[in-house]
Amino acid sequence: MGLTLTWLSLLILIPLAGLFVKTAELGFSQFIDTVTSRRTLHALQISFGLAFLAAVVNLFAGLVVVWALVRYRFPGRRIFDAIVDIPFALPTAVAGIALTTLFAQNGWLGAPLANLGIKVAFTPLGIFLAMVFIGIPFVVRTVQPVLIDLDAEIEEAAACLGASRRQIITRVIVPSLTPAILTGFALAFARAVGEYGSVIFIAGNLPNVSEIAPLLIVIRLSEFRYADATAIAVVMLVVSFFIIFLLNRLQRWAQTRALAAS
Amino acid sequence: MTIVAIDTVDIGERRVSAGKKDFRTEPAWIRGIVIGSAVTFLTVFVMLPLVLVFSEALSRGVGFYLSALGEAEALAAIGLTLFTAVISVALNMVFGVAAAWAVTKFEFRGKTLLVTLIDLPFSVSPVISGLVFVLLFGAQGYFGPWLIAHGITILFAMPAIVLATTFVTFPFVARELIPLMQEQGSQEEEAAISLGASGWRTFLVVTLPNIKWGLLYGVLLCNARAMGEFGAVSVVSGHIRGETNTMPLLVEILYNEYQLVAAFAIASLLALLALVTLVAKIILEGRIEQGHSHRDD
Amino acid sequence: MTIEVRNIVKQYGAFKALDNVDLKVAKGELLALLGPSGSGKTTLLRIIAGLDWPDSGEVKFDGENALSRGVGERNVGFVFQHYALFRHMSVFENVAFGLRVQPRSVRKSEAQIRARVKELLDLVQLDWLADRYPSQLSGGQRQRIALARALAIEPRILLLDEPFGALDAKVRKELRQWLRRLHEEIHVTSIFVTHDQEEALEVANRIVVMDKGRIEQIGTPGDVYDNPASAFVHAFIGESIVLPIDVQDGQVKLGRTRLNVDACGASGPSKLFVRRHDMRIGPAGEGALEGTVRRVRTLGPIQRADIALSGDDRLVEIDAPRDRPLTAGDAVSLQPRRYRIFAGE
Repeated sequence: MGLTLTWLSLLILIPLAGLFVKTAELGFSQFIDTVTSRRTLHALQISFGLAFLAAVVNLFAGLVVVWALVRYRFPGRRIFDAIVDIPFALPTAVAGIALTTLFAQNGWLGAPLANLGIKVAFTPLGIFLAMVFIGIPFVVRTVQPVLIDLDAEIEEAAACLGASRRQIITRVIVPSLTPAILTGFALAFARAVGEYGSVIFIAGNLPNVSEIAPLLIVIRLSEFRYADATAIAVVMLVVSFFIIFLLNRLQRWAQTRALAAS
Repeated sequence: MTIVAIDTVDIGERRVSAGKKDFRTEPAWIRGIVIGSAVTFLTVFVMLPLVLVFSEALSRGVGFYLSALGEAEALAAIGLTLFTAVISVALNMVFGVAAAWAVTKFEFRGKTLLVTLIDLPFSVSPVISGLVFVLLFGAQGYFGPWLIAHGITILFAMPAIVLATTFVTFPFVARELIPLMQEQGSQEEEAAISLGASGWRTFLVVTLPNIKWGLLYGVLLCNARAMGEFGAVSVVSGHIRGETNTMPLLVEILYNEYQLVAAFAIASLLALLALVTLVAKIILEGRIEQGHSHRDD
Repeated sequence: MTIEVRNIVKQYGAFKALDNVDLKVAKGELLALLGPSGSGKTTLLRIIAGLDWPDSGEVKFDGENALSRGVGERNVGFVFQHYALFRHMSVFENVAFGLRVQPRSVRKSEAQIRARVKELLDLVQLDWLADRYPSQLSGGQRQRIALARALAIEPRILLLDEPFGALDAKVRKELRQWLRRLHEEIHVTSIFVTHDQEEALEVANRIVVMDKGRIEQIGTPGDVYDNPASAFVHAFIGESIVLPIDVQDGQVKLGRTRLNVDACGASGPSKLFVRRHDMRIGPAGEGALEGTVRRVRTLGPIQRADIALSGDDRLVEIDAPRDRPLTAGDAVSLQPRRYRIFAGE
C-alpha cells in the first residue's frame, strides 16, 4: 500500500506539480500573454476545434459501424470487428506516415481527391482525417457492449405498444445508448486533442494554419522557452481535466438511470 | 392453411423467424446502406492505411526490405525499443498489480483520487508527459543542476526514454486489473488470511492465479504501447542516431529524409506487433470470459 | 374479444415446440397456460401476440385472421416476466408510451394522455410513483406499472408471460390476488403463462395444461384437479401418490400384491394415481394396501404420515385428518377413495 502510494507520487504527482510550478514562474500576466498570443491561440484552436469535429464524425460513423457489427451479419464481419482496434494498437508514428502517404498528392486516396481539387496532406483537412482515424475505436468499443446487452424484450414491449421500427430506434434504443455514446465521444475527443504522432506527419505544421498545440509545445522546448511550453501544457491539462471530470459525471448519470442490469 | 413464417432474419447472433414488416429489424435496403457505409468507412480509414504500410515496405522487393532492417541504426533502434519495453513492462507490472491491489482490497481515504491519478497518464497528451520529464531532468530543470553535479545523464539519453515510456504506459496494467479484481471481490483472500496465510503468500497463491489472464492482457497492451510510444519519447530523447532512437523515432527520421521504403520497413515491424497484439487480445478476451463463467459455479 | 387458435405447428429443427395446438378463448375470460418449461406455453403466447410466427396454422381474433397483422397492429397488451420497463423513462412516460407513439391522426392530445395515464396509475394504485424511475421501484411495483403500460392502449387481449416469476413468494401471492381482482374489474380477455400450478388453480377461469408442445387438458381448476385427463396432468397438478402397477385380466397388481381396486379399463403396465388426502386410513386388514407407519408430522389441520407398504417397502406420503392420531410403528391399511389409473409406463 505504502509502496503504491510512494511510487505513484514519485511518478506522477511530482512531475505534474513541477509543471504548474514552472508555469508559475512566468507570473500571471505573462502567462496570459503567452497563452493568448496569436500563434498559441491558433494552435489551441486547431487542436481543440478539429478534435471536436473529428469526434463528432466518429460519433455518427461509430454508431453506424457498431450497429452493423452488432445487429447484422455479413461476410467478413468478424474481421471488421477486429480491425476496429487497429487505430488504438498501431504505434502513432506508423499511423502518421501511413495516413500521409495515403492522402499525399500521389497517394492511393490522395490522387483521386486531388483530381477533384481537394488537397488533404499538409492541410487542416489532413489533421482532421488523422484525428478521425485515431478516434474510431472509442465510440465503437464503448457503445458495443451496451448494445449487445440491450434486452430484446424492451424492443418487443415497445412493438406491442404500437411503436414502429423507427420509433423503437429513436425512442427506446438510442436513448439507452446515449450515456455510452457520450462517453465514447469524450474519449475520442480527449485522445485527438493530445495526439502527436499520427498527426504530425500529415499536418502542414505551418504556424497559424496547420500547427497543432502539442507541436507548438515541442517547438517552444527546442527554443528553451520552457515556461511558454509549460503554459500551453497547463491550458491543455486543465481542459483535459475538465473532460475527465465530465466523463465521471456522465458515468454516474448513466448509473442513476440504471442502464446496467440490476 | 396459411403458412406465415415468411423469412428468417439474423439479428446479431440470433436467428429469428419474421413476418412481414417485422419490428425487430430494419428493411433490407436500410440494412444494405448501413452495412455498406460501415464497411466503406472501416476500409478507407483502417484497412487501407494498414495495407499501405506493408505494400510500401515491400515495394522495392524483399531483399531491400531485409537489408533496411539489417542496417546498424535499425538494429540499434530495435534493440533500444525492446530494452525499453522490457523494463517498462516489468516495472509497471509490479506497480500496476500493487495499485490494483490497493484500490480493490482496501478501503481508504483518497481512493477516488488514486484512481484518477492512475488514469492520468492515459488521458494526457504524450508530449506533455515528455515535457514534464524535461522540466525535471533538463539542464534548466528542477533536478538539472544536481544531476550535472553528479555526472548523471538522464535526459536526451536512454534513462529518459525508459522513464518517459514507463510513465506513459503505467495505467494499462492497473486499469485492466481493477475491474477484474473488483468483480472477484476479496472473499478468497479473506478466507486465506483467516486460515493463517501471510499477506504475501495469499497474494501469490490466491490472488495471482485468479488475475493471471487479466494481468497478461494488461501486460500485452502495456507492451504494445511501450514499443510504439512516440510523442513522449520524441521530446526526451536527443534524436541521436544509433543511440537514443527507438523504432518509432527512427521511422520519423527516415521518413523526413525521404527514405520512405526504409521508414515503412521499420513501420511494418511495428504494424506486425500491433496485429500480433490484437490476435493475442482476442484470445485472451476469450480466456477472461471463461474465467468469469467458471466463477459463477 | 374471442381468440381461436387452430392447428398451430412450430418447430425448431427436430424439436417440436408446438404440435398441432387447438384452443378457443372466450370473451372476457382469464385463461392460464400451465406446463413445465419446454411445454410450448410461452411460444404459444408469443405467437398469439405476434412476437413469433408459427410454421403453419391459424390464429383468429373475433373471427378475423390475426396472422396477417404485425404485433403493433394486433392491439394486444403484453406483460413480460422481467417487466421490460424503459429504464431511461419515468414511470409516467412508460405508461404514456403506447399513447405517444400512435400515428398523428389518431393520437390523443397531451391533456387526454395525461388523464389516461393518471387513470391507469390510479387503477394500479401507484399514482404516487409517477415521477420515479423504474430502478427506484420494487419488483412488485414494476410489474404493476408494466401492466398499466400494457393497458394504456386499450388492448383487446392481455397476455402475461410468467408475470410473477421474478418476484419473491409473498409478493407473488399478493399480486396473484390483485390480478384476479383487476380482471374482475376490467374484464379484458386475458391469457397468462405459468409453471406454477397453484397460481393457475387460484387465479384462472380455465386452465390449459400443456406438455411437450401439446395440450393435455383444458378445463376449470376444479375439472383439472378432480378429473385429470392423463397421467401427466394428474402428476403435474396437485400432489399425487403414484404406484406402478400391472393390470392383467382386469386384475390390478402392485408387485405381487393384488389390489382390490377397479382397473378403469386399463391393461398392461400402468400407473395408479391417488391424491394424498384421498387415501383412507384404517386398521390393518381393511383396505387394498397394507403398511406400517414410519413417521408422522402434524401440519396445521392435518397429519402427514410416511407409510411403508408391506411387501414393497415403498414409502408413500398420505394426509389424514387429526381426529385419529397415528404413531410410528402402527400397522395400517390404505384404501384409495378416489383414484385414476392410466396405462403406460
